[in-house]
Amino acid sequence: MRICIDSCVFVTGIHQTDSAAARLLDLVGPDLILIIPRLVAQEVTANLPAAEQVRCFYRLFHNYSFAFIVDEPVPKYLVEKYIGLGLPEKADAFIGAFAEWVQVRYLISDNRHFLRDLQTDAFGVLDAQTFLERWEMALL
Amino acid sequence: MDERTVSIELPQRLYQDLEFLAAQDQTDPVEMIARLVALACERQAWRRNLTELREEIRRHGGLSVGTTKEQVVERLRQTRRQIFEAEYAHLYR
Repeated sequence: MRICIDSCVFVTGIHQTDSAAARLLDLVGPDLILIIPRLVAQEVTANLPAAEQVRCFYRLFHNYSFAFIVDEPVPKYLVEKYIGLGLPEKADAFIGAFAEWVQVRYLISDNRHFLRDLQTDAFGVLDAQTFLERWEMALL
Repeated sequence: MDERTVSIELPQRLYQDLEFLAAQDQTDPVEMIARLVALACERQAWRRNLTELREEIRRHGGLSVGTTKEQVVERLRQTRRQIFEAEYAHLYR
């Protein structure tokens, strides 16, 4: 299954090791393929104060068959579409558009704008805790 | 190429599952084991990298992104706005 993890979940997962977000990151592998846009990688690394931390972060996406950063810009028409689907801020619409564009099954986010406002059938939006509960019960 | 071999005994049911998997991928059980081992190694390496990153963050006293979920979300939204405006917005005007 392909998933995209929002930066707020990624950051929580790397610095609060007892969180649902941390357990989610631990699950990434051949059965749970992680795809994020460059924007999310930039957001995470902008909040890492040490160069070695940034290097460690990018090593997570180096030569793995199940973790990818996508550099290509999301098509403009898809960003416009996601503005219309409940994400008025273009930066949020970009993330929604990305999730559809790379065909993930779930966008994992704690951001209420995604969880509450986004209306799409292209993928599901769940917070990390709910995703984990459903994953462990094989409900996804 | 190293062609030394070892023999192992598997429960019959496990070997049947292995043969089934191999057939699905149009390969043989030995190649199937090699692929599964490679994937398991990759996954272990990912977990090691993740642990290294977490250790690095812990050694530097954590991240200044807030303590509650709401604070983390708001901090990352600010970061998103800044980066998007600086590097992406011109693509979507």
